Amino acid sequence: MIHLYKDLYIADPWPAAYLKDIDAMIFADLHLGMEGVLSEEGIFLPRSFSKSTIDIIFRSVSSVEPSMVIFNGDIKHGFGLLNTSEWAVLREFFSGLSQMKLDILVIRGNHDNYLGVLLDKYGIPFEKRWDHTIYTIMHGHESMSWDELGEVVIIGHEHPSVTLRDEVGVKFKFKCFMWGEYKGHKILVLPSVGELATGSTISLYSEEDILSPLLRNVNMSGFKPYAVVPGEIVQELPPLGDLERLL
Amino acid sequence: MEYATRRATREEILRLLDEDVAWWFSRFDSLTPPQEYGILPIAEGRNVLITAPTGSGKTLTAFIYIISELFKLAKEGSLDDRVYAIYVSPLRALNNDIYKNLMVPLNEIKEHIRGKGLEFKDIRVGVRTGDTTQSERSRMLRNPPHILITTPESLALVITAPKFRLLLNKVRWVIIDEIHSLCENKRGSHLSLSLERLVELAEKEFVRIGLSATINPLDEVAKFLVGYNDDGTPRDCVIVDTRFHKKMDLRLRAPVEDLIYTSSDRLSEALYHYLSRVISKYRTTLIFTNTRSGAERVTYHLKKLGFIDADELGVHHSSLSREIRFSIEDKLKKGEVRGIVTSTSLELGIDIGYIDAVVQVGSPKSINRGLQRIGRSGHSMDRVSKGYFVALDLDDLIEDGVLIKEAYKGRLDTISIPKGPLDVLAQHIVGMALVKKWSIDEAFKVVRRAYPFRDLDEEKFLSVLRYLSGKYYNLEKYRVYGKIWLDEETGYFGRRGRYLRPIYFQNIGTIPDEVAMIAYHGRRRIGYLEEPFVENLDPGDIFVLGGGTYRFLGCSGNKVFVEPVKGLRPTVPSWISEMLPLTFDLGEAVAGFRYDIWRLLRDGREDEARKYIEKEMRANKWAVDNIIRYIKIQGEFLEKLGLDTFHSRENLIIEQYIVYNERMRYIIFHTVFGRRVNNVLARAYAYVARDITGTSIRMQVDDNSFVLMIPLRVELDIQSLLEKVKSKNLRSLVSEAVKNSQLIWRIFRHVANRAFMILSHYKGRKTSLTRQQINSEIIYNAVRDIPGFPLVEEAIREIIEDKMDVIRAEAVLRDVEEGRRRWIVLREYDLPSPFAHGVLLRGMQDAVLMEDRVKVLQNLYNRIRERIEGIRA
Repeated sequence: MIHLYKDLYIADPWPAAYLKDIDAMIFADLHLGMEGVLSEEGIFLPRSFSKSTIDIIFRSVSSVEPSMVIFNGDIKHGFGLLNTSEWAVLREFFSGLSQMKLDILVIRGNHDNYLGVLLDKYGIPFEKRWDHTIYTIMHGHESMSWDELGEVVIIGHEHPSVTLRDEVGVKFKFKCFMWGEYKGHKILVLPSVGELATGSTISLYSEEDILSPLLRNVNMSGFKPYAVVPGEIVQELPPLGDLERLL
Repeated sequence: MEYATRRATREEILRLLDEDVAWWFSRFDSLTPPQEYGILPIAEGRNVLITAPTGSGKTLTAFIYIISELFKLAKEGSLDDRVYAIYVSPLRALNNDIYKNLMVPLNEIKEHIRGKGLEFKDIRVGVRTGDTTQSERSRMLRNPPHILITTPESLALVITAPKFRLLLNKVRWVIIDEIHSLCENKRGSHLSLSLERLVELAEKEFVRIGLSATINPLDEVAKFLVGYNDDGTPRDCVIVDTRFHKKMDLRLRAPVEDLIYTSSDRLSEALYHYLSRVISKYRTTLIFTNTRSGAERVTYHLKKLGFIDADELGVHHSSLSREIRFSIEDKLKKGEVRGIVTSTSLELGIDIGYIDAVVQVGSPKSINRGLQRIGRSGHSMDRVSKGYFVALDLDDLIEDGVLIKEAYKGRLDTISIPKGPLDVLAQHIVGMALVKKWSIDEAFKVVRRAYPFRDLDEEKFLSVLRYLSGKYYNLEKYRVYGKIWLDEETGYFGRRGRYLRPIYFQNIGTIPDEVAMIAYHGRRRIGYLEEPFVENLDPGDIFVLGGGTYRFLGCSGNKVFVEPVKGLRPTVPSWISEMLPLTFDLGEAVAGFRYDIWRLLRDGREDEARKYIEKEMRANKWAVDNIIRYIKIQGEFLEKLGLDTFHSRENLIIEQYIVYNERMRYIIFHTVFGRRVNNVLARAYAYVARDITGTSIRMQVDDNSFVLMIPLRVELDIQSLLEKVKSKNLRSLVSEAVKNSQLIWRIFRHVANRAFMILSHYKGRKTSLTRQQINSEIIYNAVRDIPGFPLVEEAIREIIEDKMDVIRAEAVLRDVEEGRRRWIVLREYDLPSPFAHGVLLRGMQDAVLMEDRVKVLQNLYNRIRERIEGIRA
C-alpha cells in the first residue's frame, strides 16, 4: 500500500485506490465490451482486452481481499441494448463478483447507460456519486462546483498516462494515477484498468484534451504521476512539471 | 519458358491480320523490335512477356492481333455481346490513355470498312475503375464492352460481380501492363490471384500478355505472369527481350567542385543553375527528384531563378490534386512545358508526349528504376534516351556513377516478389466464397497456381480459412466475427452474413490507409502528417510541412502541436516513407567499385583511376575529382587507424566512434547492401545487444551502413556480439525484434485492413480509428499473443521479407561464415570516418525496445532520480 492522505492509499501493484477505514478498493474505467462497440464500426478485435481487464480485477481482489469494491464509472463501454454478447460478458463478470462475498457499489459513468437494469438483478447500488466522510467519489464527466465536493475528490474518466523517455531516447507510455491539489481539495485521478482506451497523456500543452470538466482549469504541473504496470509495480514519479523539465 | 528468336517481317504480319486492320497497320514503315518478336506468338495463342523501354510500341504489339480478330468476327456477324479482351494496368491515367489510343485505330478502321459499304457491329471499348459511376456500370452490363480496360482492384470486383462475371467466361486475351511496377508488391500478388480466379470462371484457357519496362530476371517475371500448372510446372510463356534496344546516352555530373565543403545553399544554387542550363538545351526535360518536397522545392527555385519562363515549368506528384495533375499532363502532351519536375509519379507509362532528356537529381537507388526513368526520354525506338545524373552528395555520386557503368554493361537489379501474402489471400477467399461454395482442396489448388502462392503451406491456407471463419476470436463461445462458414470435417467453406458482399466490394484493395494526424499551431490547422512520421518525433525536432518549417511540441490523440520557426534547419527528413532503398545489386557494385579505385590510388595509379571513372561513368571533371577525393580521404582515415586495406564486397569494416559528451559508443557497420538488408542486420544485432546490455538499443540505418548506439558505461564485446547472430538464427531473431518494435503496429494495421479485420468502409460509413479512441498499438496488442494468428505472421513476413530483406541478409551472413566475406573491427576513435557521415546525419532512426516494462520503469525512475540529484548537487 502506498499512503497518500489519511485513509487513502494506492493498492499497489494494482490500478486501484484503497480506503482503509472501510476496507474498500476503488477501480475506474473498465470499459468492458469495447470490442463489441468496435465491431459495429468494422473493427473486429478478439476479446483480449475485456478478458485481461476482468482478470486484473479478480486477481487484485483475491490478493487484497477487501470487504468492499467500488467501481468508479465506465464499467462498460457505450454499447446499447442490442449488443447481446457484450451484456453476456457483463453478466458473467458481476455474477463472478457476487460470489466473492463483497459489498459492491457502482458509480455511474458516461458510458454506463442501461447498466442499472443489470445491477438491480444483483442488488448492486448504482449512484451518481458517493460521499463518505471527507471523500467524494464520482466518475468526473460532469461539471460540478468545488464547493459541493468533499476535501478529497476521487475521479476517473481521464485514463491518465505519462510518457517517459529512456536514455537512448525511446518513448514509453505508462498509465498512471494522478495525485495533486486544487483550491484546497486533494484530487486523485484513477487510471483505467484495462489496456484498451488510449485516454489522454496528461501533457502541459493541450488543456483541451483534458476530458474532465473538473480538471479543465487546474494547473497540472504540480500533480504527481504514479505509473502503474498492473500486477507488477506502481512507481511514484516527480511532479509533472519537473518531469517535463527533466526529460 | 522460351525466348523469342523468330523475327517476323512486316509482310508476314500484314498477311496475318484482317485486311482492313492490315490497311491501317501498313501506315507504319517498319516494325519495332517488340512487334517483330511479339505479334506472332500472340497470334499463335501463346502467353507472351514483352519487356522493352517506353515508346517501343508495346501496346500496339499487344492489341493489333486482338483488334484484327475482333474485326473478323464483327464482319462475319459473330461478334457477341461479351468481353473478349481485358487490359489491366495499375494507373487510372494510363487506362484513360489506352482508351484514347485504342479508339484511334478502331475508329479509322471502322470508317474505312463503312466506306466500303459494309455494315457490322461496333467494337466496344469500356473503362472500369474506381471512378466509374453506377450508371456507367449498369450501362456496361446492358451493353458489354468487347475490350475491357480496368485496374487490378476493379478486376477483382468484376470477377465477383454476379451478373458481370458471366460476361467474362469466354475471354480470350488478358493484357497486364506495367507489370514491373506490380510484381514486386502486394498489388501484383492480388492480381495474380484474380487471374487464377478468372481461369476458373473461363470456359477455355485465355492468352496472357505481359508488358513490362526494364526488369530482371525475366524468367521469374514470366512465371509471375503465367502461373503454374497443378503438377507444379510453370505454364508456358514466350519471352520477348528487347530491353536494351534503345540507345542510351548517360552522363554523371557533380554540380560543384567540392561536394564536401560547399555550403548547402551554394550547392542548391549550383543545382538550379545546372538544371536551368539543361532545360534550355532541349524542348522538354523531365526531372526526377526522389521526394515530393524535393520536387516542390526544385520547381519553386527554378521559377524564381527565371532562366525559364515560369509558365513553362511544372511540378507533378501524387499529393497534388487530380485536376492539377491532369492539366500538367495535358500541357506536356501539347509540348507546352519545357521543364517538369516530379518525384515518382511520372515513372510509369502514361503518355506525356515527347521528352528529350531526363535528369535524375540524386540517386534513383536502383539500376532498373534509373533505366525506366531515363527510358522516358527519346520517345521512339530510334531516338536516343538521354539521361543526366546530377548528385548532391558523395554517396549519391558514386551510386549514380556505378549505375551508369552497370547499365552500359547490361547488368540489372534482381527483383523480389512477395511470397504468399496471407492478407491478400484472405481477401480473395472472401471473394471466392461470395461466388460459390468451395471444397478446401479445390480452392487450395486454385490458389497455388498463382506464382506468389506456388509454395503455400496447407497449414497456412487453413489458418487463413480459420481466421475468416472466426475461429481465432473464439476465445469464448462467440463466433460473431466469422465471414465464412468453414466445415473442416466435410472439407468445405462458403459465405456467411449479409454484409459480406458490401464488405468485399467497398474494402477491396491492397493500398493501405494511413492514419492522418492533424498539425495545429494553437487552434489553427496547418496540415496533415502521417502517423509513422509523428511517432518518431521528439519535442524540439524541426521539420518541413507544406513549405514551412515547424518545431514539434507534442501530440495528443491525433493532434500534433507545432509552432512555426523561421530560418532553422530541419532536424528530421520529411516524407520519410518516400525514400527508396538502394538495391542489393547496385550496392555490391558500389562496394566493388570503391575498392577498385582505392587499389589504383594506393598503387600510385591515380591517372588510371581518373580515366576509368571518366570513361566508364561518363563523368565530368568535377565528378571525377569528388570521387577520387572521397576515396582518398577514407583511405587515409583507415590508414591512421592502422588498417592497410579498404572497404570492399569482402571487407566489412566496423568502426567504433566514441561520443564522450553523450557518453555513447556508436558502432558503425559499413555494409553497402541497401537499407532493406541493413535493417535486418541492424535489428538482429541490436536485439542481441539489448539482451547483453539490458537497455534499449537505438540504431540508425541507411543504404551504406548501420549504427548501433550503446551507452559507454556498458561493456560490450563486439566479437561476441557478432558470434551471436548466425545465418541460421537470423530469421527468428529479427522476427522477435520486429514483434516488439513500433513498426509492426502500423504494418499490422495494414494487414488487418487487407484481411478485413479492420474495415475502412462498413455499413455505409467510413471507419475512423481516431474516433474510436484506439490506435495501431492497441490493435496490435489485442492479437499479438494469439498463437499462430496468421495476420500477425503475415505482418512479420511483410516486414522482414518485403520491407526489409531477410533472405539476402541470410546470404550475407552465410558468406561470412563460409569465409567469402569478413568483419574487420577497428579500434575506438573519437571521430567518425567520412564514409560514416551519411548514416550519422541522415540515417533512419529506430530502436529495439526493452520489453520488460517493469525494468523500464525502474530504470527510468533511477535516471530521473539521478537527474534530480545532479541538479541539486
